[in-house]
Amino acid sequence: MDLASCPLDTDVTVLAVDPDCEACLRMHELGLRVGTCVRVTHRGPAGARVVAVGATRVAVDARTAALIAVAAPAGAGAR
Amino acid sequence: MTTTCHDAGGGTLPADVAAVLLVGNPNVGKSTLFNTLTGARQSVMNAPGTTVELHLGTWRAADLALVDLPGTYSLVPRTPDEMVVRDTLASRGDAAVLVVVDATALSRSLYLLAQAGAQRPVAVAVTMLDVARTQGHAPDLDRLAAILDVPVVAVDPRSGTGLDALADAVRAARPLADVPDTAGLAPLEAADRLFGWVDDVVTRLDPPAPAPRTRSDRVDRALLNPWFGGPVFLAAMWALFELTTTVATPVMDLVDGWVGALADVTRGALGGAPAWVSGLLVDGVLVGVGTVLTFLPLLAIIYVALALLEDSGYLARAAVLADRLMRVIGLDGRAMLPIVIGFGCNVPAIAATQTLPTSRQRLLTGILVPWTTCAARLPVYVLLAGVFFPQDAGTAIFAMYVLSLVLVVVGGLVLRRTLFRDVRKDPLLIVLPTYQRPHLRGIARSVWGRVQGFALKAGGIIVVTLTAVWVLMAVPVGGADAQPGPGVPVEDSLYGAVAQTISPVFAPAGFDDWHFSAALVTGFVAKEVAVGALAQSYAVADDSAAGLGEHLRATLEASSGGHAAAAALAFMVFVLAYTPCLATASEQWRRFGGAWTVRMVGIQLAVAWLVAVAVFQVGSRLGGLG
Repeated sequence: MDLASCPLDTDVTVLAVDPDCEACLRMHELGLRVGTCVRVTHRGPAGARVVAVGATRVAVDARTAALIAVAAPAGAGAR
Repeated sequence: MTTTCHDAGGGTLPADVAAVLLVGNPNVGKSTLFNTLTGARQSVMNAPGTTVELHLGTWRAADLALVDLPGTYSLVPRTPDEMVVRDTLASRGDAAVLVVVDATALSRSLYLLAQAGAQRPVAVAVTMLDVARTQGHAPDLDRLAAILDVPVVAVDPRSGTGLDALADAVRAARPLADVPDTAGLAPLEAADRLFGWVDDVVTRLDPPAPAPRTRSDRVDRALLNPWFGGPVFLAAMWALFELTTTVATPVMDLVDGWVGALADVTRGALGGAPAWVSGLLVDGVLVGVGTVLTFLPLLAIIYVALALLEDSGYLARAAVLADRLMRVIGLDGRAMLPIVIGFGCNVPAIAATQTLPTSRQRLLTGILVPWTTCAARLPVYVLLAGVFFPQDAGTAIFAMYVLSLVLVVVGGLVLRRTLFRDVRKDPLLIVLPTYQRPHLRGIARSVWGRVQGFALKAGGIIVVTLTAVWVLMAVPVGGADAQPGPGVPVEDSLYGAVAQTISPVFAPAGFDDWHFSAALVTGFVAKEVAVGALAQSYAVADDSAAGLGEHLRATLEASSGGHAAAAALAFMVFVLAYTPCLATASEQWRRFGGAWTVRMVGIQLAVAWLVAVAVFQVGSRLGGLG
């Protein structure tokens, strides 16, 4: 599962970020790193996603969201 | 007082400036803190070789010089602005750094702190604590200070809370303890190691909890909704456009009336003086000052609107909503704002490029804005369309707006592949700040500084140029009998001679005639006076459209070899595409420097000429535009 296909309002953990993507380092810097617990809070225009990283909200386009592999942590569910 | 010195050179920052460097992520309140600490005691300089602005100020309460560096997430730069931050820090290894940390995004801020404060004195100013408290995530600052072993102070830049303690903190600045050494590591590896340190600090401070849903999330559910958010965004853009036209015009007219009254009084007071003295002071200098004053309310209105959009947090949402559209020309979604404002007036549109995140994007947008057809060009279209396309005047005017959009898009695409290859199509990755109520005192302070900056820098250029134009019009040439002064007929003046000299350039476009080239020269000063200049050159009244129309038709019939309509259309296109006005060029000069402004004017003139020639050559060969 990736962030683009991940259901809304569900806590997920980042498993991997495509290391070849051009904004990989910036994603790291904004908190989208392996092991981080994140949640997609909204779908925006043109498939953009708004991702909750802690208290921060980061808007990511659909193509970039698809580069971030995530998995639901054991025991986590929709909020 | 706010001053500017865009051409300052020598190093990233002049070596003799001993200053505390202000560093922080975008949208953490860094510039608001800088404005609050320094008040009006600021100056602006460009980092040498760039159009990146550095703000210098005096923090009087602490008796310190302060430099506000561009907002950045990292010292591993992706943009020229971020490079300037990295280079300034590198070149000032001993300078203390005040890092502004966002309490609602602690990890992100601590990452920058780790990069900036590992080997130099550092103090921390924590902002957004009120928002963090609302979210239930306010960090314990005493504990944070103990973990970091550097001074940490809570501040509210809007209200001024915590500023006294901040001065003491900066004096007690010292390097961070225990930051891992990342020398020699690849950027991603270095980032991982620093984030390991950040995670350790955050965990010791307050174990991370799942992010709760916030009030901003609820608002975003509506404003970022693809079906509801789009119309709200369009409404916001429409409101901005209205501000530049419907709201600002009466205020500008009012100021114009005051300047006119002042001109009458001054002319009366100078009744005994020679005509050239009165003409120079009133029609030269005072008209220039009046032009500057007329623009001030418009700029203030737009600056307030932009500050409201930025402070409230909506600007970042607008960037998300317009991202797909603006990405076509490689620009951030926020570039939509200056483009929309440009259709009202290009001057505040150039000012609005400040909302873009990088200097290269600001510059690229600054080149495209003059191709948005502002309201001042409309009278030229209306006059010529009414005279040459009486049955299709509306279509002809509408075509100018369509062509304007085409120029912006095509111009953007061409520039992205030539002069702006370095402006990358970055993926959309924008931090959405929490919605906040704008702080009016801070906005007033910032608007005042910006308006003052325009008046002093751009205003000076406008006054000098308009005075020079008056002198050109007052100097008789070619054996004219007239004495130097305000009574010289246009065609006998140095100004008229210049117009006649450049007129043959327009032969391929069908309007090789001094009346039209003189109107273009006047239109460089201000498009709204181009129609008046045409009327004046034929010695007919401004409002005598019928009489003027006959003159225009006869002139273009002769200059175009019988294809007057094609020549008129070419002239309208030239008016659309060349330099909008002196005030716009002055604002470009203020923001992007002289070299880029000259290049921009050159690009606009070349494009205008090429498109006008193409329109005439094609139009004159089509029977319909004969």
